[in-house]
Amino acid sequence: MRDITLGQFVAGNSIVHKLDPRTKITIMLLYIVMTFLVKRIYFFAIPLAFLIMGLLLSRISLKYIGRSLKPIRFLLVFMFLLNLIFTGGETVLLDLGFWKLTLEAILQSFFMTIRIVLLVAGASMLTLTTSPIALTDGIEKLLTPLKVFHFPAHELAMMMTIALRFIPTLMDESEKIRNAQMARGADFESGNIFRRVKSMIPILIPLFVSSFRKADELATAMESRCYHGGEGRTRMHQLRFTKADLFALLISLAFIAVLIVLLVLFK
Amino acid sequence: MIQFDHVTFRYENADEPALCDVSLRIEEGSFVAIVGHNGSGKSTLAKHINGLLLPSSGTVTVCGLQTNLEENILPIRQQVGMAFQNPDNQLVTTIVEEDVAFGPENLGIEPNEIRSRVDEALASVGMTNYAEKAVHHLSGGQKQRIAIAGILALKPRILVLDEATAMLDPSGRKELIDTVKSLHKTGMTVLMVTQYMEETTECDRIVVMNHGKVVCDDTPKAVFSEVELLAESNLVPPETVKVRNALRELGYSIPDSVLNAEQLAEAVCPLL
Amino acid sequence: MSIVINHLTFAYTEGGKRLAPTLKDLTFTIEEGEFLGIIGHTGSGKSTFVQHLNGLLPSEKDTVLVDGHDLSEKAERRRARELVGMVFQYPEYQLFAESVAEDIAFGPKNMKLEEPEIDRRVRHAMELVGLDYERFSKRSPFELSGGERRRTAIAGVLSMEPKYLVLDEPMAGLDPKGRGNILALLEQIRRESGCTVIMISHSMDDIARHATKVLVLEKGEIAMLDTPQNVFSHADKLESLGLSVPNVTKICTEMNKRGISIPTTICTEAALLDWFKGVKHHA
Repeated sequence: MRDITLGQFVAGNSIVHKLDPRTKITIMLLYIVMTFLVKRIYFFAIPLAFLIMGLLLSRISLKYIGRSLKPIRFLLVFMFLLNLIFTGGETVLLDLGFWKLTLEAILQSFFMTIRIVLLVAGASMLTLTTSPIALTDGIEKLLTPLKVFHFPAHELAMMMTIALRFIPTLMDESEKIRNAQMARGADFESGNIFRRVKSMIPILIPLFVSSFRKADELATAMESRCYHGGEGRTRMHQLRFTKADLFALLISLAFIAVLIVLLVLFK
Repeated sequence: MIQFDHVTFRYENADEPALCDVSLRIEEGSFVAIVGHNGSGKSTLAKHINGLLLPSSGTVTVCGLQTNLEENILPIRQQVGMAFQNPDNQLVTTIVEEDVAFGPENLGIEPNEIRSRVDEALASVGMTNYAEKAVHHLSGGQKQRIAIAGILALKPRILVLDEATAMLDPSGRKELIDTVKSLHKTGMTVLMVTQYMEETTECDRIVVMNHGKVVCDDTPKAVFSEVELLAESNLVPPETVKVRNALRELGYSIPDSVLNAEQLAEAVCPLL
Repeated sequence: MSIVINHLTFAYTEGGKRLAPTLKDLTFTIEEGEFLGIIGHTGSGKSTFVQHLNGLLPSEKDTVLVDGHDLSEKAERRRARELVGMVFQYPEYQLFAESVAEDIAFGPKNMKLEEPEIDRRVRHAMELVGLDYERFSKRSPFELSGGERRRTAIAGVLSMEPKYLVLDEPMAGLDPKGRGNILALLEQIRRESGCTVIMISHSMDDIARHATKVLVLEKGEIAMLDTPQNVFSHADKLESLGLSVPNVTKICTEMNKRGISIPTTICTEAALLDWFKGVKHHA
């Protein structure tokens, strides 16, 4: 948890790592569109192929993808069962009287599960190959055109930057406060839920007070360092859109095109 | 270079003014310590130098610019770098070099120029090898040196340390003081706000604050000899000076210029 | 009665992996009534060590015994937390209650004491740290000055009336007056209740003046454990560990270099002045 700032990011030197974060976010969006365009289970082969290609190019080990799926394994099982139970259909395979197992239900269950697995795996590809800092930069740049509608793109990115910076500090601090209250005999482990929530107050209040103080001091320090909003600000690390980025985007578009053609042909 | 003219400042809802008719002049290239107990007004004074606080009456002029004019604030803050007490609460980004770049980025400087400023600043605080490290893995002293690097990247002429050593351990404190001393040698004007008298022995000048007023403004050797004034201001002279003063009471005549252990031994041994 | 440390070894784990040990095979005893000063470079294991004294970090069977209570057992740990009070670095960051009195009562309440006893303890603790009950008890801890907040937090530990008081750099960040207040308070509770004090500090001068015994930690091991006089007379060894010596010791070293033979066990101003008085007397 301490290294939450790096998120799931696995440093690397692959072509996928080197892509502009804006490109990767855009491709991610295209990929989501792809998985939602799929209406028949075997067409998932297209986004799956796309994902495998990304995986091979990024040289990210499959176990990292597995790790990101692990927390949602119960959700997946639950979704599968839900679809299996509540989807109707014609082709009855098993009749228990009060409930019929149908071929359509089985297909639908697999269909939904595969879609979620593909979405989560794709999203983790983005976070595994892009540092949160690069992501923040990418989001800021992509949202910049929205400034015309007074959308606070810079402020949003600055907030994300500061949050990433301070999460580890606040984690350390809450650990210290917890120890201090335990030394005064506080008990965080026994009692019912209501008692336990109440026992958190001696941790939460000092943590809030400390966060406010941090915010205040940080604001002063930022002002002292000439911060005056996003106006006229430059960045040391420029995002660079290279040929590789163009190529990656074109490939993604090609995948979508193929998918659409297939969808039209096999309507 | 810095000029306070009859500056009075009152915080909202405060009965007593935090600064009371303070006039002060600080020359270019000097190394000045501002000392006082908690609540003496020393930090309030420091925050006036870069316009974080504006005088209720009187004026503060920095490099020829008055702080109470809105359009002067950014140029002044670029000239006056300020480091604060808590090493954790003044770094903005996760990665060291990105944090150092924060100031120049705010000024809208060319990316290539920022890069070279960042490298230069990290080198002058001796943290080049940490450029790509995460800030929260550093020690307190290292964090403060990064904060100083972030200031240097703005190319200021004045460095103000607002109790920047208070939360550091002795080795972190030494790291920071050594860094600041070497910057002073390159011509930087340094103002050090502190309550540790040990840190002030090598300054050109010590300004003692009490109840929002400057009660003494002189060289370290003169200030440390003002035993009563220091006691009234709730300050304790460095340990060696305390011993020196006690030995004087025993009848040993030791000059005011004795400020450290070596000098004391040098002065007292011939008397034995 | 005493705190017995018996072959204590401890390693943190990160991501399921055991890191290199922070404490290595420590064995010694903290006797009742002592003022033990703990010094060591950052990362020497000082803070990790003191967190073992009331079971905030897990220990193996029979490695930490507080008045015979083995801290490897949960029930014994709870008991030990009442015996061993712990003041962490910047303790004012733990204040949370609406009033000073309520915050100080947190510990005694957790000990399930009776209301009148809690009240007595709160008043007594406030008196010890020099906070006037009438003036401060109803005030919010968040509107106090830095020094007052620090004293409130310390009172919150003293109200548990511990037999052993552990403090991790209790003077950090305070001005000279605040530092003096805390040190005077420690001397007073030692005198009044015979409380054993265990203090981590970076100030060699404070340790020299107040400690009856000094523990020097280096990379999780005991580098020295002796009286302050004997520990500080080894200036070279301390410096090689990245530690300094009291100012008075520096003066004595410089005097010896100049041919004046003065014992290097002198480490406080009082002892130094006594030596000078002795010299005068002879002459």
